Amino acid sequence: MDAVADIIVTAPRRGVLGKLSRDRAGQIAALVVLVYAIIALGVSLGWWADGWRATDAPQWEAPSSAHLLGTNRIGQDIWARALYSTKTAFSIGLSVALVATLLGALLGGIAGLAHGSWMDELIVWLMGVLDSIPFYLFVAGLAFALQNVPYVMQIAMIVVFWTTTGRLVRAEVIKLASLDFVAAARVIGVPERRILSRHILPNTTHLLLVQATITFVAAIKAEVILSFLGLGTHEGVSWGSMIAESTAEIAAGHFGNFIAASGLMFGLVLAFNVLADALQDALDPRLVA
Amino acid sequence: MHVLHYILRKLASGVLLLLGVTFISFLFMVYFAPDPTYKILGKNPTVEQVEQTRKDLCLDCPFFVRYGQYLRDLATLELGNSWSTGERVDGLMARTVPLSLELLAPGFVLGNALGLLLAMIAACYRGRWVDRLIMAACVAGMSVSFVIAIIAFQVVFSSSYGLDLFPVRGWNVTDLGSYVRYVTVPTLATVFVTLGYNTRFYRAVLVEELGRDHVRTARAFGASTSEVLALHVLPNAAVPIVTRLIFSIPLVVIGGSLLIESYFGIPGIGKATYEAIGASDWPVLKAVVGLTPVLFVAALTLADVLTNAFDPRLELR
Amino acid sequence: MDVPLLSVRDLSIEIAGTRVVDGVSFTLAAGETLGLVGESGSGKTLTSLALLRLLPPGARMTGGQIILEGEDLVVAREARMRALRGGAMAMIFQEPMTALNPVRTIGAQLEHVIARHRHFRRVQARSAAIEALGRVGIAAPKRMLREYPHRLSGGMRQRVLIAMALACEPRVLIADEPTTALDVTTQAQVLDLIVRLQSELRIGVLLITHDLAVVAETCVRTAVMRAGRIIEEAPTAQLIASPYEPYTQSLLANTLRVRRAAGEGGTT
Repeated sequence: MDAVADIIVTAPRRGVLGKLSRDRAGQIAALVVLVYAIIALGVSLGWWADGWRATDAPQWEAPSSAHLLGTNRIGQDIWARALYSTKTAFSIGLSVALVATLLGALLGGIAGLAHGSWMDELIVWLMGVLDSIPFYLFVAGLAFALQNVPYVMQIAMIVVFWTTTGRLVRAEVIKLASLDFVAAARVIGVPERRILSRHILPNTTHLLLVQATITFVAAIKAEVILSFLGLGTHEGVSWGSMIAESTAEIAAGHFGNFIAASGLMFGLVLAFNVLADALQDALDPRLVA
Repeated sequence: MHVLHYILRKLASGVLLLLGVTFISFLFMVYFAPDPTYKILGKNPTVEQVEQTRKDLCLDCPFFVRYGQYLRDLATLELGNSWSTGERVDGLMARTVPLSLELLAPGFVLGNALGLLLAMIAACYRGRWVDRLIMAACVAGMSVSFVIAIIAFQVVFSSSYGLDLFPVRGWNVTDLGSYVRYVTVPTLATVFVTLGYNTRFYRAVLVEELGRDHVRTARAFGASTSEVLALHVLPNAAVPIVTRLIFSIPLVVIGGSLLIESYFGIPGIGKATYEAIGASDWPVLKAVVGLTPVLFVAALTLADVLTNAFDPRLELR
Repeated sequence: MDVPLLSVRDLSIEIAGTRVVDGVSFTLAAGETLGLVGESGSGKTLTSLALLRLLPPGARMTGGQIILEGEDLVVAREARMRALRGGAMAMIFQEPMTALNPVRTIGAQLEHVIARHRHFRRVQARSAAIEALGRVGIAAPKRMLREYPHRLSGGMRQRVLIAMALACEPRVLIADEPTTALDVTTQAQVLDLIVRLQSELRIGVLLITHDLAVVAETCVRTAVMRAGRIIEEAPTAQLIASPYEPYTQSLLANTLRVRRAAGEGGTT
C-alpha cells in the first residue's frame, strides 16, 4: 500500500537537481541569499556590526573609512545599522515564512481532504474573513490588543499570510485526494490523519517551498511598510525603520540612510524573487515529468 | 430568475464573511480599546456625566447586545461622529472616498493597461530577448518596496534635489491641470510598483491561452498574430483577467491609499484611516473595518457573475 | 495530371539540434489520397505542420523544398502563407474536442474563415457556411450556426472542422489522425466522409495515421515513416500484401492481429 504512495511521492522530484544546475540566474540568486544569510548569522553571533547602536560619531558624516556609509542624524554608523537590519529581516522573514507556510499547509490540507464538508466550508470562510480585514488595521489592532506580547508584528503577519498558502494547498489536495491511491488507502483503513501527513502533504512540498520563499519576501516588504507607518514592533533596527528615519533626513539632503537600507533590501528581495522563480520552474511537476 | 437566485446565494455567503470580519474587529474594540468615556468627555467630567455617557454608549451591556447594536448601526449607516474632529463619519467618508478613487484610478488603469500590453509582447515573443528583458524588468520592479518607490519618486520629481516639476505634498485640485500636477507622482509610483506583478500575471494567462488547440486551428486557417490575440486569446482570457482586476480593486483602495496619502498628505480615506489608527478614533475605524468586507463581497459576487456571463460553457448554479 | 499537386523534397526538421525529420520526400497528386503511417514520435505530425509553416516554437526546418502547384512554400512570404492556410491547403487535427474556440459560435468561426478566404460578404459567407455544413452530413445546418462547440459530440465537432477545411475549396487537405480520438462507429463515418468529399472535389488528401487499417480503407498509396525517415512507399494494396521492410511487416502484423481477434477479415 505504501509502496504505491512512495512511487507517487518520489516521482515528481526526478530531474529537479538537473534543472537547477542549468539555471544560472537561480544559482546566482541562491548564492546571494547565502551571502545575506551569513551576514545575518554573523550579526546575531556578534561577529560584526555590533556598533550599530553607538551614537558617538558626529551626525551626518560623509562616508569614510571609519564609517563606510557615513552616519545618520544621531551619529550612528549607517553601514553597521544596515548590516544589523539584515539579521532583523531574516529573523522576521524566516519566522513568518516557516510558521505561515506550515499553518497554511496544515489547514489547507485539512480543508482539501474534507472537501465538501462543514470543516472545509469553515476553513474557507476563515480564509475569506482574514483576507477581508485590512492588513494595516489588523496589525494595529493586534499590536494594541497584545501590547506586552513580543513578536506581535510577526504574529499579525502569520495570521494574514497563511491564507495564500492555504488556498493553494487546498486546491492541490483536492486534486490529489481524487486520485486512486487515496481511495485505496481509505479502503484499507488508513486514518485520514495519516493519509494527509504521509501521502498527500509530501506531494505538495514543491508548492510549499516556493510559497515559503514568496512569504519571506512578503514579510520583509510588509515590515518596511509597517515600520514606515510607525506600526512596526521589533527590537533593534530594521531597513524599514532606517527608511522611516530617512524621510526626515532627505529633506535636508542626506541620502545615506535611505540608499543603504533601500539598496541592501533590494538586493535580498531581488535574489529571493529570482530564487522563487527558479524553484518554481525546477519543481513544477508538470514541467519535470 | 436563475441569475437572481444565484446572486442571492452568493450574497448570503458574503454575509457570513461580513459577520466574521465585524465580529473580530468588534472583539478587538470591546476588549482592547481604551475606555472611550474620558475621550469624549474630556477632562474632569462629573460622576453623573460619566455614568450618563456609559449608559448612552451601552458600555456595560452584555457583549452580544453591543455587537448587535454595532451591526445595526452599520446596516443603517448610523456611523456616529469622529472622536478626533467631531465630524460625522458618513460625511467624512463621503468626502474622502471619492478623493481616494480619483487619486488611485489613473495608477490602477495605467498599471493594468501597460501590464497587459507588455504581457502581450512578452507572450508573443516568448523565449526571445524581448520576453526575457521584460521579465527581468518585472522581477526587478517587484523587488522594490512601495515605500522606497514613493520616497524616490518624490525626491526625483518633486524636490529641489531632482526635477522639481511637481508639488511635494497636498491636493489642491481645482481643475484638470492641477489634477494632473498632483496626481502624477503618486501615479508614477503606483504604476512602477504594480507593473511587475501585473505583467507577469497577464503573461502567464496569455501564454496559456496561446498554447491552446483552438489557437493552432485558427493559425492553420490563416489567422495572423493580431487576429489570434483579438479573437481567440483575449476574449478567452477575459475571465481570469477581469476576475483579477475586480479583486485587486479593494486591495488597491484600502492598502495603496494608506501609504500614498499619508506620505503625500492627501486627504483621502487612507490618510483618514491612518490618523484614526493613531488617535484611536473608533467610530472612523469601525466604519472602515465594517465597510471593507462589503467591498470584498461585492467584488467577489461581481467577479462570479461576470465569469459566468462570459463563458458560455458555464451555467449559473 | 502528371504534374504533382504537392511535392515535398528532402524535408528536414530539427529540434534543439536534433534532427527529427530527415530527408523526407513524397508527392501528392490531385484526386489522390496518400497515407503517411508511423508510430508516435516518427515525425509525421511535424512533417505536416512544416507544409503549412506552422512548426511549434523550438522546431526549425533546416532543409528541403515544399512545392504546391509550382510555388515553393519555403520561400513564400508570411502573408502569402496566411492566404494559403485554410485556403488552398487546409488541415484538420487529431483532437476535435479542443480544436474549436469554446466561447464563439460555430457560425462565427466558420463564417469568419470563409469570408477571409473566399472574400465573401456576411450574407454570402453565411449561406456558404450552411452549404458546407450540409455537405458534411449535418442535419440542421442553420441551427448549428448558433451552437457553441461544447454542446457537440467529438464526431460532430470533427465534421464541423472538416466543413471548415473544405468550405474554402482547398486543393490539398492534410488530415492528422482525424479519427483517432473518436469512437469506432464515428471513425468509420468520418473516414467515409473524407473519401467521398475527396473524390467529389478532386482534392489531394494527405492522411496521417498510426493505424494501418485506416490507410487500408482510404489510401491509394502509403508511405511508412520511422524515426524521421520514410522507409517505404508503395501502392497500399501492395504494401499490405507484401511489405518489404521488416518494420512495415511488424506494423502490419500487429494491426492485422488486432483485427483478426476482433473478428474482422484480413486486408481489403
